Amino acid sequence: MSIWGPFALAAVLAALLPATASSGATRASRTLRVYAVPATVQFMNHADDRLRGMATNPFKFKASEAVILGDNGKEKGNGPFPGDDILYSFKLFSDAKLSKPGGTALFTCYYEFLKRATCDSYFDLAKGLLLASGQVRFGGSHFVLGITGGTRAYLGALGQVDSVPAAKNAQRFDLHVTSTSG
Amino acid sequence: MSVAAGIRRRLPAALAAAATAATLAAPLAQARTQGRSLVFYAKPTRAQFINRADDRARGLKLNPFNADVLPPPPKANSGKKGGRAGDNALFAFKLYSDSGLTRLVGTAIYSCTFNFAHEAICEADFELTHGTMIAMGPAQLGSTFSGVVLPVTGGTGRYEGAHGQLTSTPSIFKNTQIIHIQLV
Repeated sequence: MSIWGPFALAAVLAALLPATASSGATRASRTLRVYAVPATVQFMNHADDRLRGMATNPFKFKASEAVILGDNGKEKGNGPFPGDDILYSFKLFSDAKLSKPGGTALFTCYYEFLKRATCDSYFDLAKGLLLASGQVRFGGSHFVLGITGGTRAYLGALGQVDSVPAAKNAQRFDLHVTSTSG
Repeated sequence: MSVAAGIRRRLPAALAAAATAATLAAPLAQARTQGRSLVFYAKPTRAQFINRADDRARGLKLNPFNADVLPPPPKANSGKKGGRAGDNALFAFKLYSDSGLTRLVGTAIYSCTFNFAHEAICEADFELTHGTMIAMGPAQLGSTFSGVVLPVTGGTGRYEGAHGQLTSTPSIFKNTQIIHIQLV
């Protein structure tokens, strides 16, 4: 056997065995398109927690780097600043005319730096629930989230959500769902 | 044969074995969890509610929206009792494998952030004997708790690559929750 022999064998095994290991599973893909209209929004301003965190914290960082303060001791600008969160609820429709109700969605977004947030969302649809998470820029209308799971008809779901603006102040979500069933 | 020559001779095979093991590890881990069903009896041990009323009130005045963009506080969020948008609730459980609560098999923490109408998004972390599991999703946390169904999104150790759903229903027996985890 040549010096590459074991690697060749490993390559063959690598090509064959994952398929064998998952041979009991089937994967199917589908895309669900829904249109979302904001229903309620709640902004949580954590300015007091940030200021307290400058004085009392478990790290050794320069306080001046943590929060941007004005002369009056208040934060400059409107944020959102690190630590703030925003909750959005949406009504979902299955058509662009927003005439056929298709469920609800909820986004919980935790702000980090540069007005970027990590958002956890769930889409409560007629056949089950889909869970998606990812980064969203404040004010940004185009974003992509990863689908991390689901329930009932979407049990074990994976995939991604593409979001783009739509007419009538709505947001279009394309839910590309890859289901795994054993 | 010298020691160096021996190492040189065995190294490719060892690397190949390691490469094969690494390649197979993820699918095999997933295969281990596929189709499994687990049942736990959860006994609550601690709870902490975090009231964010000040952050909510400040957020209504100081926020990054234009006044006409931010809808007024919804009726759904004005209940007299219970959590309101942005509040947090933490719950700790001991997990048992039997309804008699004699065989302790792990612990669980639910970390929940309320949104509207007493609904919260909860992250549930299970620390079990042979690994961990994570589930996440909405839960109605009103005065009457009727149970939750959460997607299972991952795990470690024996539950690496875990995917499926968790159903938690209250039991009248010893104030416990019956947690059924179905993995695909």
